[in-house]
Amino acid sequence: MNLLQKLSSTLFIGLLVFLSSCSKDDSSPATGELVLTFLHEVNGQPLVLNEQAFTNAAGNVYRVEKLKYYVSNIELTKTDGSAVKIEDGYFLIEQTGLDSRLSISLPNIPSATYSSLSFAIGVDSARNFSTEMVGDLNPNNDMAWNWVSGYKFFMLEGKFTTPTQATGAIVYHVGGNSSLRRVSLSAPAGEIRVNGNQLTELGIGADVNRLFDTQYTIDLNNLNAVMQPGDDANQIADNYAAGMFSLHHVHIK
Amino acid sequence: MNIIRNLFFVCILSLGLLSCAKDDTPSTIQPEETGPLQLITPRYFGDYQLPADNSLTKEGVALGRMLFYEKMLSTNNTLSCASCHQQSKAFTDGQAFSKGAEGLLGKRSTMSLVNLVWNKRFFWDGRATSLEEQALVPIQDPLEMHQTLDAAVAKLQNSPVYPARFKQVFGSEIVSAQNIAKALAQFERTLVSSNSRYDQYLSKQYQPTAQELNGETLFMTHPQAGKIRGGNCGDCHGGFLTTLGNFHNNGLDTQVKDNGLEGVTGKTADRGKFRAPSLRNIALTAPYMHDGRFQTLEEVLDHYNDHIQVSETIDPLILEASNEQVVPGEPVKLHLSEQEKKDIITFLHMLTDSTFISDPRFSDPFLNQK
Repeated sequence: MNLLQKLSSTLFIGLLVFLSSCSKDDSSPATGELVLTFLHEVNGQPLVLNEQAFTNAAGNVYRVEKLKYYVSNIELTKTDGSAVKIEDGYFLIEQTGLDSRLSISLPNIPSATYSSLSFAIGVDSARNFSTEMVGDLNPNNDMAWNWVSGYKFFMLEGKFTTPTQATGAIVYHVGGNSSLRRVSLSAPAGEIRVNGNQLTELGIGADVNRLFDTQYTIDLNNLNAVMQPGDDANQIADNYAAGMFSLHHVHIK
Repeated sequence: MNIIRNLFFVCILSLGLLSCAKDDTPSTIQPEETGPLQLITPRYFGDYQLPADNSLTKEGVALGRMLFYEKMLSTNNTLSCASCHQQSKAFTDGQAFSKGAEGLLGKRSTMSLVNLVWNKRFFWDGRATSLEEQALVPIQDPLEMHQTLDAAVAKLQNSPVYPARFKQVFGSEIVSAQNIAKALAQFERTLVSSNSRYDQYLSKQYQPTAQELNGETLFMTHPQAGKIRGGNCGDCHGGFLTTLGNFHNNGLDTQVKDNGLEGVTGKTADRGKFRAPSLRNIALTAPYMHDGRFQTLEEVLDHYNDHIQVSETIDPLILEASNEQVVPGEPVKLHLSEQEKKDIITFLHMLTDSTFISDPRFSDPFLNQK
């Protein structure tokens, strides 16, 4: 059985090599690598955890200690309108005191010119309530409530200064089906070129201040803690979906 | 194939027993089997990764177990890892601070050893990022076993048993510090606790009492004043492993005496932060906290409920959490009732795994030798 499996996979690889060597008379490979790099910032300044205080639209002075979110269901749209979907891609982006993962590497993207990309912040319901661990979905990564409530889609923790100069906590844990949002970003010059000879990097800006001021203006004195799915979580999700993310640059390396 | 191999080792083993019967060397501790070892872990614990250069083997784990109980690893042959990590106490020793080989007291309380394959950082301050790295530290620490690695290697090299064991596991009779660490790490990775009443409940073999269930719910829930009652434990001790592996200032002092994670990262933002340990077998691992300041679980609950000390690096998850309206600047209190605290403690007792603390695979392999 094992031998058969090995044999068949060897045959399959052989077939692939054969096919690709036949169909490719030009030297350009059919796929290339696309890297999405998330640039955490506040009003254009890099997000520095803990030490640096920032001010939001409501005038709250705050510091961030932890920022984490899931990026999933990435889709790229070609200039001809057709789409490439990344199946089973669940990526945790995080900036915490000890851990930093800000990039998603997507090998095997069909060589083409793309005009936009979109992705979900969070986890679709099929995967959210599954015990199957795909990609970065894992109950031990500090992003799961439990297997009944599913994953946290977005997490921001920090502190802010109240009008009486006391220190308040910011605890935003956003999740639940109703807070799943899609973000769509168009290429600045209308094109993202991917081809096998190069690495294409998309810098995606993620501005923390937009959490507080796109759809809804949020004053931390009124809403500093969101720990359950519901209306408050949906407000935060609406805000980050509406304007937190932007396509910052396209680099071809 | 397997049967033949097993038979072969049974033969070897019997030969070993026969040939050893006449002398006193403890070489009868042969692993019964060799070959890759598969950890058996419940699905709900999640995936884990083993280092590519130190996969588990039965003979490697057996050697690691010997080394874990080996007093030659201390400068005066008085202490082994197991002196402070005692199986009956879920691999702790009941002390706030443990005495080292030369009688000096350590600076932090012995951590329990459990479900370590899911751990990314070790020690209260996270200064080791692998078990291999961790394992060599207490051997050398002047407050613990206080022996140079060269001295430890030399003792094992000159022993009648170890060179052959190292050869079996690593292919060479030459003992090295690196291989001591690897074998210790292999043994420690097998310390999986997954048969507590909580696990039996998760696998539908045990129906908890109403109090246990209420305790579990409170434990896992972040409170929202006026809406949802919660004990706020799960934000740090979350998931089925009862730890998320993060570091927190949990409000023990306004002026910390031990900088914790700051000592490792050099960042003042990490002052007084310590690893949130697994609470598995917590009823067996008193005293509590990195400095063992609390003798009982009741004292621990009282701390979180009434005595949080606010400082610059206090965790937002603690600063914000209460069952009553939080007023920033006012003392932080959870406002749990006496009954709720008792319910949470009942849940904590559900995490005791009596098979884990009596599992012969984790016990002293030399015990029947002497």
